[in-house]
Amino acid sequence: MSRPPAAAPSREGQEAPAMRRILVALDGDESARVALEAAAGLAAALEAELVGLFIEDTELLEAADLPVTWSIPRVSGPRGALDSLAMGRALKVSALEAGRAVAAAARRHHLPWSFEVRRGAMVEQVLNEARGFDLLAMGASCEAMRRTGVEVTGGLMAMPGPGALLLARGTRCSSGPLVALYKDSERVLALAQRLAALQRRRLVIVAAGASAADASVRHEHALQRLRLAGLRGSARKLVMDRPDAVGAALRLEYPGILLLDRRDDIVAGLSLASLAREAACSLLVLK
Amino acid sequence: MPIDALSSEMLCWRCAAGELLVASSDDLEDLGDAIGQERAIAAIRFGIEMPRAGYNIFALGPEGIGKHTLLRRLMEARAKDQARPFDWCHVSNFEDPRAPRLLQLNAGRGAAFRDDMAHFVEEVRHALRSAFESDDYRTRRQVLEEEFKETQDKALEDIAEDAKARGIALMRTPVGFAFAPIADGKVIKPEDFQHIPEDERKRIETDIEGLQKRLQQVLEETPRRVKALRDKLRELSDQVATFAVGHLVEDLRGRYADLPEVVRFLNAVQHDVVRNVAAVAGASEQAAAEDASAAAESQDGHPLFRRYRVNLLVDNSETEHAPVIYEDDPSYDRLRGRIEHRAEMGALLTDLHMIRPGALHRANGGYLILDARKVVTRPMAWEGLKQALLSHEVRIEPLAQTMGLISTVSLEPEAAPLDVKVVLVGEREIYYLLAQLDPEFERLFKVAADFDERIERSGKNNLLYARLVATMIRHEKLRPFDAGALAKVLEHGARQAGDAERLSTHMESLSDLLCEADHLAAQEGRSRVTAADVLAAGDSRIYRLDRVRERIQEEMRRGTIAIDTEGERPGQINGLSVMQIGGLAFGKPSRITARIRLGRGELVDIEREVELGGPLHSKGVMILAGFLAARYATDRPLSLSASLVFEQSYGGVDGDSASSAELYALLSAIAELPIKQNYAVTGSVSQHGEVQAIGGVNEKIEGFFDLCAARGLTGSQGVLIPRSNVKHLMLHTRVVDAAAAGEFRVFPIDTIDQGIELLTGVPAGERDAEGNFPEGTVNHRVEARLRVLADRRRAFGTHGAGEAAT
Repeated sequence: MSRPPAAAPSREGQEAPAMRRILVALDGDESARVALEAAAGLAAALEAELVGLFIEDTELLEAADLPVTWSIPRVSGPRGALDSLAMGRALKVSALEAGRAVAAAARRHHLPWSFEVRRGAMVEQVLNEARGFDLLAMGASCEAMRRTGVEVTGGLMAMPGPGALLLARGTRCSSGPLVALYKDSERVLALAQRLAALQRRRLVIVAAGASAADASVRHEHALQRLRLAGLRGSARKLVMDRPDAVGAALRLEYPGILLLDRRDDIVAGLSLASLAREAACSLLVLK
Repeated sequence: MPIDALSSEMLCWRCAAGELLVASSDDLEDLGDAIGQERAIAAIRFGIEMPRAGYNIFALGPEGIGKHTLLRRLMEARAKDQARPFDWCHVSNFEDPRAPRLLQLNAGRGAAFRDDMAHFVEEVRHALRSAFESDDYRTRRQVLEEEFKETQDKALEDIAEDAKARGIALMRTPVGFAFAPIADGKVIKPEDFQHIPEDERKRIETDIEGLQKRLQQVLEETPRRVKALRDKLRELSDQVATFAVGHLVEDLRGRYADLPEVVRFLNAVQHDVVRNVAAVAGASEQAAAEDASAAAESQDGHPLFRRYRVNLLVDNSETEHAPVIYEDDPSYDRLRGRIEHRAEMGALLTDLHMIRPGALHRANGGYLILDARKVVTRPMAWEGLKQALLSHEVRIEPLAQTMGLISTVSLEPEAAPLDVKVVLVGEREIYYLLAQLDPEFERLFKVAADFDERIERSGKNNLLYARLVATMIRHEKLRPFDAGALAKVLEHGARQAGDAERLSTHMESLSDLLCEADHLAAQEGRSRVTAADVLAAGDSRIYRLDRVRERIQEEMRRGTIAIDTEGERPGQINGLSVMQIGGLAFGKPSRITARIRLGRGELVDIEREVELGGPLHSKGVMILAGFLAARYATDRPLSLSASLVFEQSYGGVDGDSASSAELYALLSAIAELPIKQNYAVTGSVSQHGEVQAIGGVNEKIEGFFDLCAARGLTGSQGVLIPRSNVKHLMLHTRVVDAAAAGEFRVFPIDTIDQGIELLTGVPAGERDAEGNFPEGTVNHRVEARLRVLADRRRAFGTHGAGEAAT
């Protein structure tokens, strides 16, 4: 079976956005590892380059030197004293492990890859480095984002940076079905179809409409797209008649990755962070 | 009294072609039973009908007399009236996986049960996959996980919010959590912290202390919450799995409701499915459904499902009655079963599906026939068989483990109750050895079925024998044998028996003769086998094996092996022995010589001195000393030293059939009377000088005849045989024909005196009223010579003693 070209010509608003360079931001968090695996899978499917990035968070180093700051182990044992030297060593160990993980993922997927370590404030550094990348992948529970008060999706989306964002969580991120939330965005349908074909994953299109008739039109359109593409998948109608309708519909599909287009007006009104929590899945948001 | 040679009619029994009153084998009915084996048949019938333990059968007798055929026939006839035995299955023992359980099912239900369980495994896979991929399950699971996560996150978020309200951030670092004061959303730098007023620093410190305690409490609670989550997830999995498989097991329970052991196993299966699916589901909290599905998808290679399958150890679905099994290779493993292993990553692994049955399992409820020699020569096979019969059960256990050579963990399958009649088939020697050496043998094999290798020849038996021949001809799909051919086959039977009054029951050689005669008839293009074909078959078989005999005869003719067939020599005689090489026995003349001198009565058997003589030969020589002393030296010491030897004999000599020849040589040497070399002699001798029967008389006569014939028959040549062997004479036509023409003679001898007269041409002589032998007789000359020797010895002893005294 021949694969579709990795970089299909894009018609703005109609075709799937090209993704040639993918940056994955790593900290010590488990969800970052999930992001790495998902990013590597996407890079392999799209024949993209994978770049790993580890930020040595200067805030952690500064906090470690405070006389009132103690380390409290996650699992067991009493609190321990902290200093910037010890924290620096711990960050270097984490960076080393992150580099190994990127190398291993790249080897598994036969990818062109690189890995970089930067020091600085986490959020600023990530966004700064993400310029020029088509996709930024990171763990959904990135601690620095939460600490600095950046609203994970909304905030990131508002900033300049990559064309798409993958916020990863859960082990189904790389294998579970792709669920596309679709109302008006052809881009999201195109990307979902492309990824489903390349990764041979089940695709579910949740066709939303303000009314049943509206949802039926989109549902029919989605089915037609699936038929034309010859894809294994299904479509579900979603009538936006109550505030939790989207969350309820998504829970039923148990997605691996939920694909959204921020330009789609259905998305504009949603809290993506809470949506991701409700659906307990990863989010891939097109800016 | 001169001894007359036997007439040619007495040298061989000839079966007249008309004696059987049939034109060919086609006119003879099949023979249903073996002939001449009434004792063995009665014993076998008794053994197979006797239901008590220990009444196993040992069928003893020479190879090739049809023991196997008869046993199989009798046993199969009996087995047809007996119900087919149970099927046996090994199934998992969930309490102790090392000891698979054994289930007994009616014949045919084992295979059905195996297939049912295989189908069950397939269904379970689908049922579990459906159940664990269902929206219902996923949602319920997700709810539980989210509950947990929310509780955990909320606890941390509460602390984080509280901290934030106090101007403190909760930070996740590579080494755990940490609290740090913040200002404007950023952590206060250490140098700035120093500039904070003392009270404020104290306040921050106190707040952080409090927050840390709260955080530690939350973290300490985490393992309990994780365990609670795991319990809930397990409970959920149990419910789902029970629902998914319950109806499947219920169907099977209904099908096997009459078999409590099977129902018990099915209950255990249900419990195990639920327990293990819960374990799989609990193994990965985030991907329980995927894990369960993966387990379900991995065919029966996954131990979770493979363990529910059935190993059908014994399948009697195709059997119609009790089995009759012959195990050709009765090694320990093939008798008792074995546990196979597969190599994986350098380790040897096994499971209950690699348990293989042995012959005892397959024959359970029926009959097992084994070759005794193979059983006793295969390592531990005899012990393994006995152990099974004594304990009435068969346990599959690796041989090395039984012998204590290995102690690695392996399977210990539940033993199968054993109800089998074992029949050992072997030579008599093995039976007698086992009876003598193994105290348990007679306890386990109470029935001896002793097969006779020959039957009496009579008018009735001749006909039965002919019917047996005809049956074999038809069984082997051979050409019909005409009346002459049948007669020759009977004669061959008598020759095989080595007795003109008996017929051999050696079925294998008989069958070979028939097939070979048929082959020769086919080559000649005949539609019937004739007497000539039978004779040619017998001769050609001898010819194929005859090389050694011919070489020996050739060397005798060339004088390399010194055997005289004319002239006279004192102290020298032609003895006769039989050599058995491969499938051919033939007679070989040997020169026996005796030398005497003054001595103390020693009779030196040179063969014994050099350890070439067997005990029977030595016994024969010692009898000669007894005879000499008793007849000639009752009132004085036997004062000679004599030596006897088989000239040019380089192998062992055993048996006493040459003892009469040795005595003749000795008497000749003592009496200084020459023996005629145109005679050869065979026969053992008693201490009273009576000549006794020996074996192989036909081969011995033919051996000497062939040498004489090769050198040219003179009419004076012949063989002296014991009269008691006359009834055994079944000589080849060439000898009989020569005898009829007066060219060769066979003399029946009763006593040594008769023999020595014939050999020396001098009367033996009998004691007169005064106890003296007549002058000039052999005995007189012997006695006189011994007297002279005794006198010399006395004189020599006195003289020697005087010298010694001076």
